[in-house]
Amino acid sequence: MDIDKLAKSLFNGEDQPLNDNIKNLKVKSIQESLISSSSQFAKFVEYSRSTDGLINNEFRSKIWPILLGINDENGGEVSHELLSSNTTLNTISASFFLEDLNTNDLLPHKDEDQVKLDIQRSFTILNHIQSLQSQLQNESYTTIFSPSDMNDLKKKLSNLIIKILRKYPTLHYYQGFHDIASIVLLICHTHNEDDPQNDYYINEELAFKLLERLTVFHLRDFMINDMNLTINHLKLIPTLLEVVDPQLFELIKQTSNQYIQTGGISYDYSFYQSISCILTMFSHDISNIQHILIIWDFVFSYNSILINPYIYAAALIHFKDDIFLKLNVIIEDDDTDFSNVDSDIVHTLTSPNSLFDGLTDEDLIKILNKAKSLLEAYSIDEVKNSASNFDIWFKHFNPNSVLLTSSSIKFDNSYKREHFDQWLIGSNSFSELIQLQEDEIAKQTVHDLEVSRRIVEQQEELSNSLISETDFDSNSHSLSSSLSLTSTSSSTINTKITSSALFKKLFKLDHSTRPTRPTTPLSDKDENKKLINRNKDTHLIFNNIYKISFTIGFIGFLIHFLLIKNNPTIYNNGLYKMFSSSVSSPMKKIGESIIKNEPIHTITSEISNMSADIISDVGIAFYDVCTFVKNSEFVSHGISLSQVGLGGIRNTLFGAVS
Amino acid sequence: MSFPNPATSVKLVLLGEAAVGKSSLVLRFVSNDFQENKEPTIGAAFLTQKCTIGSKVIKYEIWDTAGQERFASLAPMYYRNAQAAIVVYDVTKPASFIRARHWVKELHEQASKDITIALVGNKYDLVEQDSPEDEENNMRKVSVEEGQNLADEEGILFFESSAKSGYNVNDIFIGIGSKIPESKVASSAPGGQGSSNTEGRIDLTSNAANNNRSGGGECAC
Repeated sequence: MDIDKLAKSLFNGEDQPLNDNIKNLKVKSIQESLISSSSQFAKFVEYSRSTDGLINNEFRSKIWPILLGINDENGGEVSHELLSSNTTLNTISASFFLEDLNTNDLLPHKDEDQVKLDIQRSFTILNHIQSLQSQLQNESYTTIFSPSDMNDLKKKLSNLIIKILRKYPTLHYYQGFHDIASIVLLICHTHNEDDPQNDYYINEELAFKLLERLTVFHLRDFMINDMNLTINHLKLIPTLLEVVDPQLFELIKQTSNQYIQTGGISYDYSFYQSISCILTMFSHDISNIQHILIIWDFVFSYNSILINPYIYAAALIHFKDDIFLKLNVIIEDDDTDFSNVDSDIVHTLTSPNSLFDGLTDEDLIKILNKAKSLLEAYSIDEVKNSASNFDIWFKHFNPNSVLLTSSSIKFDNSYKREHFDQWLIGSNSFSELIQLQEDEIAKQTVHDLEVSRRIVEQQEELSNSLISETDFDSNSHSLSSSLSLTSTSSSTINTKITSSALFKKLFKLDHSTRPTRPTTPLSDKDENKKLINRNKDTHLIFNNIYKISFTIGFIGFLIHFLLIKNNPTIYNNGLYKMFSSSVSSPMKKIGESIIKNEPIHTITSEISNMSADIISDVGIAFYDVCTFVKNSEFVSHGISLSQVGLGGIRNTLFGAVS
Repeated sequence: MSFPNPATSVKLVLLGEAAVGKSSLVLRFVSNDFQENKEPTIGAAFLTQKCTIGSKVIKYEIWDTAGQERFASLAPMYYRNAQAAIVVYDVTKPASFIRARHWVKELHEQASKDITIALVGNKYDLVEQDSPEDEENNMRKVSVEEGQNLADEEGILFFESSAKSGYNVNDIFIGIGSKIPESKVASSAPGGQGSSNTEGRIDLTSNAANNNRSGGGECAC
């Protein structure tokens, strides 16, 4: 219907919070959808993703279970044949779990002390309730919590978490899980219509089901013993930035620990600063609870935690100008060098604390809209760097990650129910799954260690080749002195040639742009990519050889021209011979080594050495020629040879480079 | 405010078991504030504070790390380039002292060779009321001697402190600042950032630190 369409577009306002009229309209639409008997799932998704999400907690407590696949589209609970089977766990009503843990016979979980510690000292729930109260001033109900209510709430929170842990003893509690649980508990808190005296009531059964579903289907990766799987999730943020915002990516890459430590050889996409956001679905770092709830509406509408890295990337892009302003960095182009930027400050500015400090409603709307469009435009397993990133971290090493199973963005709820609900029975199949995931990530860790070992080797080789480059420096020094004797007017080229950095640049194969690729056999596609990469390197070498040859040829031609014109006899004095021999033989050698497929760095250093020899030969030859020319009458004719000739050479030699 | 000497940066990392008071020590040092129930740190937090010791001004760049065991694997990236470390334990919790011992060992093995370490027994306020006669009911579970002995064995600084009362908190940072060799202060640890010179660094206090709601200013030392 047209009105529906109108309403939908209205709910997604122009990056502004909804005004009261539209908000009321949205409330009515949600209410209608909730009582309607026809399929309303698409509408709930739409409401959740549009501005201000599901508006209030009453709606959330009804719609979240539907979005997460606990309840069917009409709000009724999905009956699981699996769940009705005879397990002691399911015969116990969840409601009294939270009242008293002693009523069930499950063994205590090893992390229970930590849970109690975190809940006791955590302000989170208190802060949330207080901000909730201020937010709810104009809503239908407000609740005042007394200190005893608070204690009761803390106890319920603690029991809720412990109940989950006891039912899934293979899972490990992490600090931040209590933030997730407290939000769930709050959503399941309603005012009790039947008993106005005792005016707060928590639907503990719902709280348990919501948290259980979140834990088993979405947060499982964070709760295995090995933290590296969590680290994999964080890596998706720079992965996205690489294709979406190269400048932010370069900033994060160049200030990352591994990049600095390996001198730019290697980058592992690590992005630890985002850990609290990814672990807690933003609930640890955002102080305004309405913002958290709107984000959760948004996340649950995708029924996948893959959206979280998108939200984080969108936030970084949204605050990009602020970040660069605070860093005092002016961006000229995509190649901006960030090596002088303090990595600690970058870490801080890109961490949730500073990113979400003072977040406004408008900021949040823009960030979520950005995240939505990023997800539409850049699917994580289809972006151009996915073969070396997502495919390896998840598809290859961790196929049982939540991102590829129960929290996959590609499966709908009925598929997920069919394939993954078996884990909720708390049977052995879940323990086996966790063990499998531990094994998977352990394999990746072994592989990563192997990669870092190779990086260290690579670094050593590089430092060796640097020594040979030092030799080259001394060569070029002799060249410069010979050249400076020749003519003062050629001083510009002098300094340029003496700069060994230039030659390094000319010959350096850019290691940093080549992500380290694992050698384990991957898909054919990846093999092809490697081949292409190799071809690219070879091409680069030939390109450089070509440049040098061209320059040498040009110099040769120039000298030939001058000599022929002025004194044909000198042509026979062996100058030409010297040139040809000094140039062609090393070229042959390089060609041979390329054919023999020697490691790139060997060839590179060989080329550097040879070019040094060539250049010094050229220099000597030049000196001879120039002395000759200087002594001849040619110069007195008023033509500045060095100006014309060297200028041309310089352009040929460096034009393409600089 | 103007100072005769430019501030030299010291990168400092806090390590220790969960809930021993790492974040509270930093909060006391940076903002002279205390929260009874400080939220757990997830990942790590970064704060800065200047400290004047005699004629030299030290700007501490503090990495406050998460205490839960499972986050321990992230710690190396924070202590690797650190010039100083504070290893914290809770004087009422023997387990936290064992953990502190492990941290000191790990730092000596993995961190920069000339890192300055301070061992800190926190929550001194809880044991102030302890009476020498009634050992049974005393809150203190780790004696001063045990702490001092570990520190002596390892050749590191030792303090007992209370982030709650503020007792000895600034002294930790003064102690570290006085022990760090002058030459080490000027240059970052090897393998540090591209620009390790202090001049090239951006003043953290103006932006990053204030984002962490620090009251700012100089520490009282």
